Amino acid sequence: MFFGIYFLLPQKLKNYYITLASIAFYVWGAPKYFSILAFSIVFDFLMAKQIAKYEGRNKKLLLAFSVCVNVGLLLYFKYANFFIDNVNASLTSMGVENIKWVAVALPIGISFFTFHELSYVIDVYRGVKKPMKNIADYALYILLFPQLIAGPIVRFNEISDQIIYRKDQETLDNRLQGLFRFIIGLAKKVLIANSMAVVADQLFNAGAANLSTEQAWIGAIAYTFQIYFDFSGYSDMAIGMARMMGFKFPENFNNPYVAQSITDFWHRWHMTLSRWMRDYLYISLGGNKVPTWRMYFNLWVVFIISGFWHGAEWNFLIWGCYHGLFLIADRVFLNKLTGSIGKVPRIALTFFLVVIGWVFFRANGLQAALEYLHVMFTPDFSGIDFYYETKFIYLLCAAAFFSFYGGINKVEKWQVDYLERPKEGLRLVGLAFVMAVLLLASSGELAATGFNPFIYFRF
Amino acid sequence: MVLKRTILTLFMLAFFSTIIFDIAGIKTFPLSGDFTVAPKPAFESDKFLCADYQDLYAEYLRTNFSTRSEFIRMYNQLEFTLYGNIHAPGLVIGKDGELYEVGRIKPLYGEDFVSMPDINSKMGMLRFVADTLAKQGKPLIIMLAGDKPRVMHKYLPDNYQKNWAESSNYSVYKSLLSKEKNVRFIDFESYCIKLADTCKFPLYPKYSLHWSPYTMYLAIDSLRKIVDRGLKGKQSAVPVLKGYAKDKKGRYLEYELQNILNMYFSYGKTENVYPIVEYKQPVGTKKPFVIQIGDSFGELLLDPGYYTSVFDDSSLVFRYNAIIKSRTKLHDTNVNDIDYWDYINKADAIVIVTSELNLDNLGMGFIENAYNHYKGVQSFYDYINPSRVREDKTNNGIEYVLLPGEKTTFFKNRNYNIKAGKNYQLTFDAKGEKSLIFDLYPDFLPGYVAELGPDWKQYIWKFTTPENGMPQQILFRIFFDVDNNFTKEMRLKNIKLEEVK
Repeated sequence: MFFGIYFLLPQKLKNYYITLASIAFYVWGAPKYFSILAFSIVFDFLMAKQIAKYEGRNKKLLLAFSVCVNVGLLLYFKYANFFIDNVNASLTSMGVENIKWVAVALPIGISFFTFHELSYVIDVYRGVKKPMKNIADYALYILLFPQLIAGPIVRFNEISDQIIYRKDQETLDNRLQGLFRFIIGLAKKVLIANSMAVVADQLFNAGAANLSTEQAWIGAIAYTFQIYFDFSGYSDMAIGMARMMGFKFPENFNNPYVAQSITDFWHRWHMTLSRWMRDYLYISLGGNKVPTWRMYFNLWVVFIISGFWHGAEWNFLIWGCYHGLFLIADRVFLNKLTGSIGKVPRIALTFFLVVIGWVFFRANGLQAALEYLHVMFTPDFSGIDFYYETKFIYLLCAAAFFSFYGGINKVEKWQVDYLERPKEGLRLVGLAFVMAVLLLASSGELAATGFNPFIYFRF
Repeated sequence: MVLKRTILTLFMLAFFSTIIFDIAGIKTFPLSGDFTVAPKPAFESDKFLCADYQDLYAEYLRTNFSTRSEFIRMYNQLEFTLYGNIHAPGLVIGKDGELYEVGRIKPLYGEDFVSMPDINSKMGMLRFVADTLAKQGKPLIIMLAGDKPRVMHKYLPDNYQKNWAESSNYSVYKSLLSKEKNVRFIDFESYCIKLADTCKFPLYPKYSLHWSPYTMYLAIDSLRKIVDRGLKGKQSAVPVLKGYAKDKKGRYLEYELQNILNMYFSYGKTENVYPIVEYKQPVGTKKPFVIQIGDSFGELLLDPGYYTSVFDDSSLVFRYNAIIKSRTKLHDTNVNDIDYWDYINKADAIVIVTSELNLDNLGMGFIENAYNHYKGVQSFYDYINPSRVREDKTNNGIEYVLLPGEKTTFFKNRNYNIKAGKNYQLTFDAKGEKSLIFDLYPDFLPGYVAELGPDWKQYIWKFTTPENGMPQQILFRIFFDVDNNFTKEMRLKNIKLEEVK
């Protein structure tokens, strides 16, 4: 319905229409928190204007103030509960009265819109881009509904020109390619991720002590595929919808499970977050222009923050530490050590390390994660009575195929070519037919099953 | 360019079709079977601000959009064709493609066992009722119809191939009923279990949960033999088997489970066997008038004409002790709209037909009602809706649990002696999410609407009956009629209606 109206509108009204639709979208999902979002939009718009006016120390102070307010909001809404809970746990253990505290609810999408706003003020500060003249245009950057609540994290400098002028990109080819990309994403989420989720949820929720080793591994692998197809599916849908409007969002995934090292994995997984962390945090900490030990330390800090960004829980923090450690290990010795074992063993080793990492990410708390890992690595074949449906087995094979086929030579190049290049004639008809089947199958699944939110919505 | 424009337009039309259908109020061919759709939520600003309203509205849209039934059929067909899965709630595929209802498998493992104290209490009442009826020369017969999962247990899916529970309603009632002097118990289920391996015809159609016409023939033949014992001057007609007709179409409920799979293509076809029966009335006898209180198994005996051919053709089936099924003008009448005890008094025999699933409420309210009636006990109800009311005795006294679903009447009582020009007070404790209505029928004064809340609360309804214009027979009712349905159970206890000064 949105696109039906969008395609008919004159160019000058389109941005207003998207902004209004995005506001309606956010207010419908989280009406209570729209005021926070609106405040931060107005605040950063005004701050960026001021930052652009000044130079030197004042400019730095304005940036620092803006960053503090943005990060402060994020810390308060996302991490205050975690902080108070841990302080209270310590106070309890010392026999001291707890701090009285009413839990704060998490405004939906705050992790993403905060990063977008930081991207804006930092880009303006660095002079990469000039501040937006019109607040409606800036609001559109923050509110643009495909990426508002679960990314991809689109840096301001990547999209600012498209907000002002993208008429050339609003082509029939882009609309069709965008639509097809949306359907691919929908199918990834609905047909594969949701089916993996059924088994992953049942096995993780059964309690590690009740599982056999094989069940624990299947649960971890099901979750590994679930999170990939869920999040990359959402990214495809966002990229597709944006493309239908003439925006070109950056890619967020590139066959992450064919990565040959953890470093390589982070070049392929949630690429927009990795790039944001690199450009706005890692470089701010000194980047590669510091002594080696400091560089390693910075890398580790970036990954700890990256882990913590995903959620205010110890297990996310540990997950960040875990990946950070392997990133350093890659640079110190691991890449050299595995350099000669060949591509397939390297992919297998990296996948193994990633699966272990996802256990921290998925388990209900750190203790549960450790117990789950213990079962995975302690052979015991007496588990719960669990029946693997044919559907799960088929889709597990499909998920494995679509996760690993990118490792075959030339496939990655073909994928980019296939996604980008417009089709003609019979190839177009064939592709449209496949898309229609995927759309019908996904719609049927959605109509028949309950609501299944995306994993990354909660970040 | 034309091709691209055409494809994009077709996709956009596909997206719009649902909206167009919705606006035009066109709904696609409806789905078979029972399923719930979310009601349209009423807008409340509090619920909107915490996004609860939006969740309810999304669920309402998901379950009510105009083309939903086609999407469901397509999903069901794809799931079955690709993975062999079926998606009818509560159905499973057994071996060789047999379909089963999960709810009917659970009694095998004692999952619905109602506890020994409850069974003993029920047996005490049953004994009194059977003795009373015996004194009136009316036999009370209880026929346990076989349920498919126990009889056809070899075809259950692997994950249901477990040992049967020692304490199940079936095992306990089977043992206790066979010892009762004045209860004629027909354990047709055990008979079917023995017959299952050797019978030349299917006892249960592959795609049905009910017994086959052939099994029904065996059941009616057993039933009439037991009914006839000791009847004076009356004898049932003898059903004589003359042959068999066979077809794949299904005349009764042979494809009932398949139909609720809601797929585009048939799940399967089987050849069904239909006995060709002639009825011979013993010379000089009249057929007995038999009232059956039965579940769907008992009701099904009417369909091939067995029940009203073997017994007097005005014989009645009180389906779930609620709706009358018959060949007479009473068909589909509510039992509350007839003089219930007058009919019971006229009957030559009373039969209870129950499948194993309904043993948790043996008699479907008849035993309790008859006990109160014959004992002269004043109960606050003489009709209880068995499918929507559960009695919970875990706390002190009885709590009546009103089960979620569409609007319905839960209780009725015609025995209160409500007089003209008097003051009455109804008191009760209740909790739940919606409103309950208490009234006197036919309407002659306003009813009482109790707005329930999450915690127990006492409610009092005081009313004065008019001096003039009182109907002759007054029915006290408790019912739900506020919305289309409710989703969380409601509870009632300590219900008391008394005259006050």
